[in-house]
Amino acid sequence: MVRFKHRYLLCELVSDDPRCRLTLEDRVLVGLIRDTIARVHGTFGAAACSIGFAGTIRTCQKFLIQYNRRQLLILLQNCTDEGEREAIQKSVAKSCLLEESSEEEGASDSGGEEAAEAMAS
Amino acid sequence: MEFEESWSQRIMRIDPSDYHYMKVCLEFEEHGIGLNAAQFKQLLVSALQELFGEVGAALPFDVLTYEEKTLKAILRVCNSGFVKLWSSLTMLGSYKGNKCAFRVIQVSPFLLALSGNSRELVLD
Repeated sequence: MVRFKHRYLLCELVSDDPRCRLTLEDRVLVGLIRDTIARVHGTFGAAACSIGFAGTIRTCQKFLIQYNRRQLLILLQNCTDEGEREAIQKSVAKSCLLEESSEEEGASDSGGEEAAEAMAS
Repeated sequence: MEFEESWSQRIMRIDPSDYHYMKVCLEFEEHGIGLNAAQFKQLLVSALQELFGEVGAALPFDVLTYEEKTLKAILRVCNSGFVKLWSSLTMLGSYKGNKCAFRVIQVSPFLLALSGNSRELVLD
């Protein structure tokens, strides 16, 4: 039986203007992507991607948060300067707090344990 | 009673054609609207662009013959783009504000088959 399979693409937005990162919102990005698909693939493409599109962006965001948290831990282990170390420790602690509050909503994560181990070392 | 022996032969093609040929006719709701060959091809490209976007508009197809008086044409398209072209013709509804529709008269992987159409035969 042929099933619909989901594919996730994690992309990085590259721009000349560094300020555009601050103004770019979730909904704006979704709208831009939909417009581009409509232009390149027409009415057929826009209809094909309209189902469950917003949900896939959320899943990519969740993965990106986990990935960035792991990168922070790696940086923490490798950094030599004390000031940098404190700054990274603060960022990791902040991300763990956010993670705990999202865990209450029901998302399962093992990042918190890794962070606690790294901070202790 | 004697039965005459008869035999029949069936020929199978091993290498089918890479293209599909379509005999189509453009019908307008109002009479008196004409298109030349270039405008006709542009109409088809814009129909593909409407439904399938830039990718669809880049689909290579050829207008082999075109009759300006009857607005009939024979199109050739590669097999991979056949469904896209036919569905674009189906969804085309207007040209420069005039309502129109494409009638697909005949379709075949072989051009020779378009020379005869049993549906156009009239019984006397």
